[in-house]
Amino acid sequence: MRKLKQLLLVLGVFMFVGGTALQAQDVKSVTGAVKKQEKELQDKKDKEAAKLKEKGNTVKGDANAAYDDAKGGTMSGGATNEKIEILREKLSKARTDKERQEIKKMIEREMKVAKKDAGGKIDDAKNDASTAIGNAKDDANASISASREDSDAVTGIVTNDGNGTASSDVVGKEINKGRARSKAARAKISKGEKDLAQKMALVENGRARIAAAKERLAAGKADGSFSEDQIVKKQATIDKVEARVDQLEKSINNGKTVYAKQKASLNTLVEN
Amino acid sequence: MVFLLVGIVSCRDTKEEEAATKATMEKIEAVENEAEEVANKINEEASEVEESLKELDSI
Repeated sequence: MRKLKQLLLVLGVFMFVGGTALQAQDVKSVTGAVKKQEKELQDKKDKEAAKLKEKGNTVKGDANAAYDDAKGGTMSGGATNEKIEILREKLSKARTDKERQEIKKMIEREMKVAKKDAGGKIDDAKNDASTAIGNAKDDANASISASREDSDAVTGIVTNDGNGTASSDVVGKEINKGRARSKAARAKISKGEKDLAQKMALVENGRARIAAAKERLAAGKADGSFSEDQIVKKQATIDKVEARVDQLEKSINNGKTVYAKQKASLNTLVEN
Repeated sequence: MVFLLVGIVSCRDTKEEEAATKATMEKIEAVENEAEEVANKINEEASEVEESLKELDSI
């Protein structure tokens, strides 16, 4: 009995020493992880800043190009401008008043198309700029939020658990990690849903541009300014773009379904 | 004896908790990966659409 007591005492001492050592190791690993997380957070912030700058430059370049096109009243490919030049040449060679009137009408129509396209391009550039800036902001916020949550998960310190209470207990580390991860995943899905809405705007814009291109092609066919070969090529381009827009719309709708399922799945995981 | 018992029980609880969290984390990671794949596919298609829309301007 006495030996058993001594054995238990020794065991107790070992457990105490072992527990203390484990706690010390835990604290050390948590400190290391926090430092690592801080470094990663800083890297992410730097990357986001660089991305934002790059996007800003691209959007600025696009907007300038659109402005230049609009200013000149021409299209980027110069197709309408070329057409107008041809018509002006025809006008100078026209012999009868009737012929002159018809050509003038055609020139006016082409000018309207060019103006409409230029206006559309400016609107597109504005929308692109606003979308790119919004996306960059969302990306930066999501990234910083996810990093902060990861950091909370590693330290076991919940900065705000939703009830406004805070805990500095390392014991709930695993649970907090799971919660933070789930929250970060839901934030990513929400961001994905926002992106889908923006892509849907691209689909709508694409449909409008396809309709305008079809109109131009029909007008070109009617006034005989396109050769058979040109008509076939232009029609093929329109068909190709239309197919891509259809595919994108299909993928967006599929994405919406996937995101809805994932949100439900994450809610179930958190509840369990 | 009591300490020993408490030690054994708490160790077992922690292991179960860790295993459950690990399983949950794996599920969350799978969800995140799927979401990323969907987003990448849509971004790729959107870029293609943007490129091909530029071709329309020459019509």
